[in-house]
Amino acid sequence: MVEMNDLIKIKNLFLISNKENRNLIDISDLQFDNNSISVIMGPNGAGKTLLLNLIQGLILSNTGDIEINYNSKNKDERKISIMMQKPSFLRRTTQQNIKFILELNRDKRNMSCLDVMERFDLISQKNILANKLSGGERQRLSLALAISTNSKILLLDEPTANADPYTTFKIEQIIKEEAVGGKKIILVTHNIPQAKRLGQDIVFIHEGKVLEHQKASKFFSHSKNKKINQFLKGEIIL
Amino acid sequence: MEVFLEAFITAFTLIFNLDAALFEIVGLSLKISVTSLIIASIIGFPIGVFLAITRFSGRSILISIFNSLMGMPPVVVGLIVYLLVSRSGPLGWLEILYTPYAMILAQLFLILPIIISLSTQIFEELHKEYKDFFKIFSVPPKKSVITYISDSKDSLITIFLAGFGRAVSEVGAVIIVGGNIDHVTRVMTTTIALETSKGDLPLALALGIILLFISLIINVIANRMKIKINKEING
Repeated sequence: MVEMNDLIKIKNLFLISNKENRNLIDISDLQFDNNSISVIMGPNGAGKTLLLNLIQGLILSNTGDIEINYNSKNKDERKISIMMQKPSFLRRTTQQNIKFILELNRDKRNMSCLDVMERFDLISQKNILANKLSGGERQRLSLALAISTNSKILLLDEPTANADPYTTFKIEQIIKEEAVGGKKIILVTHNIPQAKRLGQDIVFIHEGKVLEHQKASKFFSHSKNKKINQFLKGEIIL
Repeated sequence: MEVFLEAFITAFTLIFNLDAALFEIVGLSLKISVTSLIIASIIGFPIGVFLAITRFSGRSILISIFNSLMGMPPVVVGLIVYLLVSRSGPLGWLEILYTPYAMILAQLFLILPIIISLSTQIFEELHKEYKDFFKIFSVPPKKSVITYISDSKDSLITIFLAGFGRAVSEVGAVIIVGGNIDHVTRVMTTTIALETSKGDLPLALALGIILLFISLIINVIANRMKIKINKEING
């Protein structure tokens, strides 16, 4: 495990599926530092999305603690926001969805709806119903809403899955800008080149357990775990 | 046949001459029905949202009760409201028996279950779409309720119409608590019943035609509003 100035501390986190009678999440100790982009990787069904949902508080664990060590000087700043893999929107236009979120947050960091739409390249889609946007546009809108909440921690669940190169580039650029601006980003991705481009530390999860948490450079150059190396090369399916 | 023809001609004469007595009755009917509808909507839609988005023991029983109350016979409602507002009843101190207020109360009892039951179904559908969004962005409860109502407005118009139809066409409850007093509590339906029993068909027919016309106008307006809202939503 890497040593960090911990922003998120996870201890003995345990989530069980009563239906399948198996452990979905079994994490004894995991920390995320204050200012970096952390990437969560792992095979399908490993528990990456579940972990994000647990951190966000969308689902509750059977046991364990998730401690967020962050006290903002700005009382209106939220702690966590999440961008879901399958985002849901209001039955309203792109512009109205963004306005709704901006109005929820009293401190808007001087952001106007127009600023947000410009930054996320959604101007020409402003009057289109959010649910009728294309996949890439939905991803940009979803990220726009998550960022508009002015949260310290951004949890991003495969933000560029199935996105075209332009959307991928745009989203990655914004993620980097937010990280530079002091946000903590926790990103789930299957995209190894993206993890290399963005990640400062990598958490590898398999069957709900953390197999490795390492600085990105070390993780990709010489992971201690043989199985992870084989997985990264695409030689095995875990 | 001649009697019917004569009745129709007299009815249309009353309408086109804007007969004062006729339009006093029409005006009172609309005032009572619209007031009860507005009150029922203010109370009913938030209850519909609450029932749709919360889970508590007894919720399904409560929904079943409201569903059953939708078909409650108006005379029974009239009797209950009569007992409530009569001098010896718990609300007797209000002294509203045989006033339009008692009629509004009776219509409120009739419409409220319709508004609650039908809106609960609509809000339940919307909740499936919105629950993650509201949870992720920590939307406050008050804002959630307003959003559920405002984002279902095209469906709520239909409910609003169903409620209005029930209120304006109802006779049993308002005749019991209103008493059908001339210039005080006489509305379209009670007048039609009274004048028909007296054999004064022209006034009854005139009111019947106006009632049908109001119903038609409201449906046309509602349809136009739905089209407009759909256009706004779909761009």
